[in-house]
Amino acid sequence: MIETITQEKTENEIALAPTWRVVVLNDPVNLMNYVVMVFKKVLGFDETKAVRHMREVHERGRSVVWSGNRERAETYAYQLQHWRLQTILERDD
Amino acid sequence: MPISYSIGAYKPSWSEMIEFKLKIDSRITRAVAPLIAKSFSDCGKISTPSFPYIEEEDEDLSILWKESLKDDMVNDRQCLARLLNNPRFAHGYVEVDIESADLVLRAITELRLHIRQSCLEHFSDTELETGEFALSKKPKDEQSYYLAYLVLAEVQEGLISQLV
Repeated sequence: MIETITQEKTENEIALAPTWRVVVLNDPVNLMNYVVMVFKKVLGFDETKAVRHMREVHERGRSVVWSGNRERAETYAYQLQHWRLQTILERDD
Repeated sequence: MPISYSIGAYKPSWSEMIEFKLKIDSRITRAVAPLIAKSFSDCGKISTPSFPYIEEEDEDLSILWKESLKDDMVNDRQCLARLLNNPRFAHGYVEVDIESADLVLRAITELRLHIRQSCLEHFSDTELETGEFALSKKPKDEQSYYLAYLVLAEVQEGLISQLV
């Protein structure tokens, strides 16, 4: 009984955990192929996906490059910021 | 983001090094090398991460986030310092240990951001992205900084072409 309650509670907590979005913003400094390279290195994108997100950043001013749990979102955001990409985290409410 | 710039031929000297010559008149690289060195010095003194952690109440975590980024930036700068201190750099030669290439790339980005923010105030973002403007109509000192900005972009192009 205790196990069942604990399991239900954990599942509910997971279900209620908010999703976080890693958003890269446009800037006038970074080269297009630099941004593509960083997306591939940090996020593991293939060339096509990296170029698509780079173009989205360039044309729309921002691109959601990853979404999911907070811990991984923070890790990606930190790495992208280390590469000097303008990156923010957004909570998906 | 600005347009890409072409790069000269790549000639690896040995496996652990990336080495190439910039496809820029060496008179330009000689002229802007001191400016790049000065900007690099200024950048190291004043540059701090301006990135947000998450706009929320956890101030300690936010400070930790920035301090950690700052420490990482110091490592990156040390690798770029080695490149800039190489006397061959002023003549257009780029020599980077392949293990340091990522760090140099990041440090150059930081330096270009610094030059953009501190030394190119008469340039719009669009002008920097497209390269469509009359350079001769810009203030003299900013013309030089713009050339330094381009030389650094060319270094990045060359490094990226070897890494991907």
